[in-house]
Amino acid sequence: MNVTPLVDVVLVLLIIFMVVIPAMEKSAQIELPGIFNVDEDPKGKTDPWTLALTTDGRMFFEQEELDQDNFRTKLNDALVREPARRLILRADRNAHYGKVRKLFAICQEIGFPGISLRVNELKDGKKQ
Amino acid sequence: MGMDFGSSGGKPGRAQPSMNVTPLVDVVLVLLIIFMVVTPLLAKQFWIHLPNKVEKEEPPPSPDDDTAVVVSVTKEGDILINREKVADAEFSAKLKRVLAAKRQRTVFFDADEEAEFGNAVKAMDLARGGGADTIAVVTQPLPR
Repeated sequence: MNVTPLVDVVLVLLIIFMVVIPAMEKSAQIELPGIFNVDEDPKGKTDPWTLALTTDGRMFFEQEELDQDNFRTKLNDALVREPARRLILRADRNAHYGKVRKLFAICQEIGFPGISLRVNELKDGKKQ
Repeated sequence: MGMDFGSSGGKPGRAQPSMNVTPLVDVVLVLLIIFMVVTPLLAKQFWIHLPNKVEKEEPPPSPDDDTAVVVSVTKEGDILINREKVADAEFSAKLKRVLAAKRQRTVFFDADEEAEFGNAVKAMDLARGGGADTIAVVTQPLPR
């Protein structure tokens, strides 16, 4: 029996799971808000830093869970290292705006010129 | 990748049924990879402006200010332009008029602490639909 294709497939599966599982575990489940007027696709821009905010107010920076204090230093380091890199926020649509505003305030103080929100695009006639 | 008819073992002269799942798994894997690649591309973005520190030296715009357009969202999810409550359906048209009257293209935005982020984003979306080129978020709570 020729086991080579089987081993091949199993190895590929293994690699896929090795890549996917850490990405799934750390960033918690987030329901994105849906809107109609989304930005044009930012072609050619550098891959942004990702921030995440869950409904219960936990914050993540690049998949790593952070609290208020080290959040500030992490973001600061990020901006100093790569000033041109943008910031993108995945916040849950059920999160309180107060939390989001606090996050905006931190980003503003550090000196980010703006922030992108990750959203789902809704088409006309489709309601959430 | 050949089919193995089991001629090597078992009773002679009788074909052992065997199924070759390799092409199936192959196709499924390719599908999986295609979806993994396509899904992040479906996520869209919405850029908002954080007024920088120099601008911040000025006091943040107040809803009572005559020149600034301030859109805010209440705890219940109602949208206000400056102090005036506007229904979602009329919002875009109303905002267009206000922006034209005040010769502005920038909208300042804030929402109540308790407001849902989804409602806040919906209001920003409507504001952009109403002709706001720049949406600047106010990071201190607005005077009530």
